[in-house]
Amino acid sequence: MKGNHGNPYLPYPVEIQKVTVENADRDIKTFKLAFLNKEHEEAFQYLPGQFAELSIFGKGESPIGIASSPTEEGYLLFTVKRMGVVTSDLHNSEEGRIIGVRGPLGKSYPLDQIEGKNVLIVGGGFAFTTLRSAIRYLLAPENRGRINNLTCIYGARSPGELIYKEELKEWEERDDIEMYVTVDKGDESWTGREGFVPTVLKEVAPSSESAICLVCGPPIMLKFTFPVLSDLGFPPENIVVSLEMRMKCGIGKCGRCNIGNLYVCKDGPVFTLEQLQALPAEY
Amino acid sequence: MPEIMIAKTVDKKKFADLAKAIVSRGYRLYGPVRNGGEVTLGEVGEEPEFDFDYRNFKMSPKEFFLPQSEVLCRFCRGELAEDAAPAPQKRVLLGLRPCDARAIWLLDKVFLEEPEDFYYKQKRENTVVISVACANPATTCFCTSVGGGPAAAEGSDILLFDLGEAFLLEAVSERGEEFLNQFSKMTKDATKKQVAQKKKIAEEAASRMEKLPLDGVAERLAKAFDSDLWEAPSQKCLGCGICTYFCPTCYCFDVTDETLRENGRRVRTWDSCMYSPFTLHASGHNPRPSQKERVRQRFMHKFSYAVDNSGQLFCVGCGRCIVNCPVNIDLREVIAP
Amino acid sequence: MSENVKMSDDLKAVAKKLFEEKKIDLLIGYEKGTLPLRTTPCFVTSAGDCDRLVWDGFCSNNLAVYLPRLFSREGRPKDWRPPRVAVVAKGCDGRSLVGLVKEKQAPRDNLIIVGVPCRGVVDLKKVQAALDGKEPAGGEIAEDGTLTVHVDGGKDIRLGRDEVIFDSCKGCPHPDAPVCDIRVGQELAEKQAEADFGDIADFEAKSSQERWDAFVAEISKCIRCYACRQACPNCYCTTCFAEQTQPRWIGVGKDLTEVMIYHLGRIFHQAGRCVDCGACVRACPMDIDLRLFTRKILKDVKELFGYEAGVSLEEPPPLCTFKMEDDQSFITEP
Repeated sequence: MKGNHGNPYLPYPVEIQKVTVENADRDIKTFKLAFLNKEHEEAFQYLPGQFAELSIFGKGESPIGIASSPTEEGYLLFTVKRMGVVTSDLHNSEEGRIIGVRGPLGKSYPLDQIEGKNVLIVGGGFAFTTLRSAIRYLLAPENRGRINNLTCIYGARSPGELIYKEELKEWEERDDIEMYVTVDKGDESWTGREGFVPTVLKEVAPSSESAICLVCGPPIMLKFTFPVLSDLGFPPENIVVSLEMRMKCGIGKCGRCNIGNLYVCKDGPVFTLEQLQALPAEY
Repeated sequence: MPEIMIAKTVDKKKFADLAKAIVSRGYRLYGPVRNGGEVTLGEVGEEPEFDFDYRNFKMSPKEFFLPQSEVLCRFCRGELAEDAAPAPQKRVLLGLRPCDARAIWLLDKVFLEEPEDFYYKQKRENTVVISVACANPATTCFCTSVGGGPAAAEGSDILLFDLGEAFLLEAVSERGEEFLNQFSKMTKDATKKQVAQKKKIAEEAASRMEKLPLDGVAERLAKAFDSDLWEAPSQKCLGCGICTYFCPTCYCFDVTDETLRENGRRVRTWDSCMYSPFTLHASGHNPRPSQKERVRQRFMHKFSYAVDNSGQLFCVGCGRCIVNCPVNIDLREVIAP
Repeated sequence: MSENVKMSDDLKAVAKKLFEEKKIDLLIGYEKGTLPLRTTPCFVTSAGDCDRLVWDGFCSNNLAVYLPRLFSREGRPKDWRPPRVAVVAKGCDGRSLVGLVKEKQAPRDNLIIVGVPCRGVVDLKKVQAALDGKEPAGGEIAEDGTLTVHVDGGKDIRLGRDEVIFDSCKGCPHPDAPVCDIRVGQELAEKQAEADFGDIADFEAKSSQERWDAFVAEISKCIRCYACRQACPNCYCTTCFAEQTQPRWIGVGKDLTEVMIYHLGRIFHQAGRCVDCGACVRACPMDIDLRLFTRKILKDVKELFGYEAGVSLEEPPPLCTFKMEDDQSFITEP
């Protein structure tokens, strides 16, 4: 990661081209960002699972997973929940605003290890962002043929809290991906599935043979999902998670995002469950 | 262990002239400055006097490479201002102890690893480190127990020994050799006798230091994450951060944006894993909620995780944390077997 | 020296009895430190452990600082019961404890204050200065407060009580904890009448520029380590104003403006609460004379409200009360 002016602490300037509100509570928005400078765009080579620091001068930076896939050219997508100083300011942005992006950072999903495998994607709530990147990437014509079955189980608390609603519908229509969208509790207009993600996972019971599972979700969902995956026969080295941590530098220098001897920004945020189980429970 | 490349001597009476020559070549010279009872590393005056009869500087010299507060960039109206980074001034740091120099060598392993830290690198490349070997270690020193020594060369460019009438200057890096060659007219080649003398000084100093039972400490601590050994120190710990601020190898930092009307700057400042907001998420979740987790983190990082990541203990045995802790938490006690 | 030993023995006996009578879960005191002339806070949980306790003129830390976190309900399960804690308290520490009880940071019923007589605590920075670069190997304090220091590789040095105790101990108005459940040893026969603010009055008499220069000179030593705040029993805010991000009141660096506002803010937050125990000055690694400012606040509170912190459990703190007689001049003659 070279960074602007060859300095890994300096962000590239990007323009906010489009802001989309994703959920009914209106605290999750997707930002479509375009580089002002072609060279920067070319330097920003990323893979699904990586993240970047979104920089707002005067407020700070926030590490956000990249929601777009590198197969989507000319822009980056970041889906951001309003939490603190930086994200609140970002949420108040209008289209056309210039902000900064620093990255790509972290390790990506192990997409080099999926040749000929079945891929299972399990996501919950707002954590689905980098999984969207993985799905778009795998569905791209140049990649789809590399893997076998592609299954996705995604759920949210309520229909309003589902993100990427339009794309979810598109994916449900496709026959090269098996989509299972669920909500914990539906509303009057919801005609889809009801049920917690781990429950739906149990029902669908995808085969663990020659399969790799990417799972992202709130801690409570992960807690109940791991046992189901284990029962289905997924060994810990084939279950891949993405972690969150408070970060500042994003490049393994400031010392704050470590779990044991690994830095979430540099050695992660993607870890296999096997790696995670070897680390101290400090996250 | 860096090889000794050349060894020169300078009469003590002529050392001030050498110092002036260094300055006249455009180097900023920092040396020991006495301030009341304390000795700090500061810019030497016009008529420098060099007295190396002190234990160690009050504060570690890490602030010369990682300042307490450093501007990363400036911005104006929300955009990066095209501010040229100031041309780094070449400088000489004279009077560090080998433990503090070793600390810089350790910091190199973090900040010069890919991606290289732009600011640290600029300073590092423009600094010549002249360390002064120890003849008189303090009772709180334990460099020989953590891979260092009173005349160890890691991190230094030149090692200086006090031979009584003269100083012996040993270049232990290419930068050091290049530097000494600039002043070859003011120095003499060291004699075999002088080299033997300095060896003796180093050995004597090392023999006087108590060796702590730190063999295998990394392996031992790797299994100690859930041990109750962290209870006692964390009960007392105030979370004041003095240990991390005075430690020559502690490098954790924070990044903050500061603004004044339409202008602003992004600064990095020393931070400490001993503070509770260090790992506090915006959601309110804190993976290290109490002083126990934080105290554990400090010791595990220095004596276990650092070994995993760099192969070295991130402690140089300077003893500053022991001496300055307001509640007398003693590292030697905490990590003893 | 024999008196110190007797005092330590008496203290151990008191502590053992408290455990044997099951009156406490924890006793916070002092034990011998790992460095010469130092003690360290000691957390004792059983009678058998009480032999670690010591009491002498090296017991400098204000142990009240540990109470807010011991009694805080944050993050505790619903059925958590606060522990019963005994604290060994010098006069100043005892006043801190009173303050914490009044501010509801420690329940009075769960607290046993074990008062110990204090003739002043040894300031190791002064000892270091007298040693001129040599290291101490050990030392004893005589009954009259004289400190004998054994020097590593040298002769013993004798230092008189007034040469060697903390500035905050000189002229201390409350050597005994004013509110006390168990007293070890005798109450000290002679007490100072009132705290003497003469030096503050002298400072106030200086010109505005002189005072500003003195303030800048002290405060520019600050490295923002926050040791002063962490050592102070009164600083128990979950998020200190200096570290708030929403809104961000001050920056984080060593800029003089930020440093000044941090210190001024902290000191003003101590108004009516500071007991001048000196823990902040002792903790400060840069030797900033913080008491110059805290004592100014103490003087003002005494003059404006006739109030001294920590001597009475009943008297409400002045900044939480309003009396018709309160000075209104800051409104009428700003």
